[in-house]
Amino acid sequence: MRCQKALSCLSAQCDDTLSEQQRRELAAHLEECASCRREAFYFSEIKGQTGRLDNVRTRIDFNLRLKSRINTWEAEQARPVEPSLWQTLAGYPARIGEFAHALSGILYGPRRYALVGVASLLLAAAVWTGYTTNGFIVGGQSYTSQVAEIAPVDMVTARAYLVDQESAAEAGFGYLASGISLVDHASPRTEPNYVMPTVPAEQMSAQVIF
Amino acid sequence: METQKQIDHDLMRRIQRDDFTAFDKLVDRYKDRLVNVLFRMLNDRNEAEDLVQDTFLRVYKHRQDYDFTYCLSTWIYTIALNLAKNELRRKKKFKFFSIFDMQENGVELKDNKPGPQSLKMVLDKAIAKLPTKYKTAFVLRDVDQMSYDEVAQVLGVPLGTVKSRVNRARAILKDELRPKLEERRALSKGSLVPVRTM
Repeated sequence: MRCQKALSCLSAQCDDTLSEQQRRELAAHLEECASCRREAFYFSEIKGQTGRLDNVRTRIDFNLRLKSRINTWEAEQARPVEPSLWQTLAGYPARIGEFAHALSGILYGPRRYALVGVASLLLAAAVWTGYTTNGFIVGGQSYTSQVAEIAPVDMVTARAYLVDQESAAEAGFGYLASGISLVDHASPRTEPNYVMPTVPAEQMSAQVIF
Repeated sequence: METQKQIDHDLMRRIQRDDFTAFDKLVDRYKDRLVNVLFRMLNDRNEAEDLVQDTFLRVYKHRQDYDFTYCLSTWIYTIALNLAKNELRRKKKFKFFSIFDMQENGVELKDNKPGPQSLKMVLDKAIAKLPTKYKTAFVLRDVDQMSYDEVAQVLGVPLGTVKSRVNRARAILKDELRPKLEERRALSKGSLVPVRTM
């Protein structure tokens, strides 16, 4: 074996990956060549010293810190992503488009006559109710414009309670024959809770704020 | 007897079912080896540990994407080394001045004590100075004691290339360490007179 060949085998010799024949030839060459013997010593020293280098180890809290990072990441994943301003703005045309599409589906769809019929009936029912009760439906009870007439002019903010006539008579409020009493108004002339104590709450059927 | 690969795959299957105990076991199996390899690559313990954390975080995030036809250790090492390479690239791009650099460039580090410890320190520095591709192959093979096949898989290069890179790294180290090695050789021969190098 020549020096060049021997030198190329030295690294493999460190790894112990030479064939039996190569090993024998290299050993024979090293016996007679001091220069290659020196190189072989260097290689084996480097290999040996590298194996003896101080190992760096992780710190004791490594797993805890990792767990904390994973928890943070999982919390971020669980949190719903809020759309940015741009995404919100960009979404409007699409929403308008969707609404227009849905509307056109109704207006030009096969059930458009039925829908128009139902809408007309609802409108007619609302007009009829308003006409017969002379007011609006509030909480299942109706009240009329008498409320406004009874309320004193200076009572800008007042609450009216609808009570039945018997309860009003028992409470001694004859003028409440219309079934309306006034309480908790802003006027300094009349004390708050003027009527409230005498009319049990359960007898009040509706509250109107005006 | 269960092989390392089987153990890893069992752990990974449990991790895929959100078993955090299995993940802890996997971390314990690889964390010290990884931090040692990355420390040799980056020469900074804190950075190495941070990157090992990043590696495991990625493993956890992408646990459902793991392909069981490959070795888990190969996958983990590939992630870790890619992170290390990115870090080295970033460092190269934004060169910082550190006290360590100043010591290396200007002031000689106190290291006059002969003997094995001194050689170790020189070897540490010489490994740090190796070009990245040689250093990676050398560290995996000689520091982490991986087989050449495993190194080839992790680096994604042919076996011959790995052998050549390791060989090249050893040759560079040999040249760098020649004076120290010569001292050692002379001591081992029982002579205090250093032998003249060629």
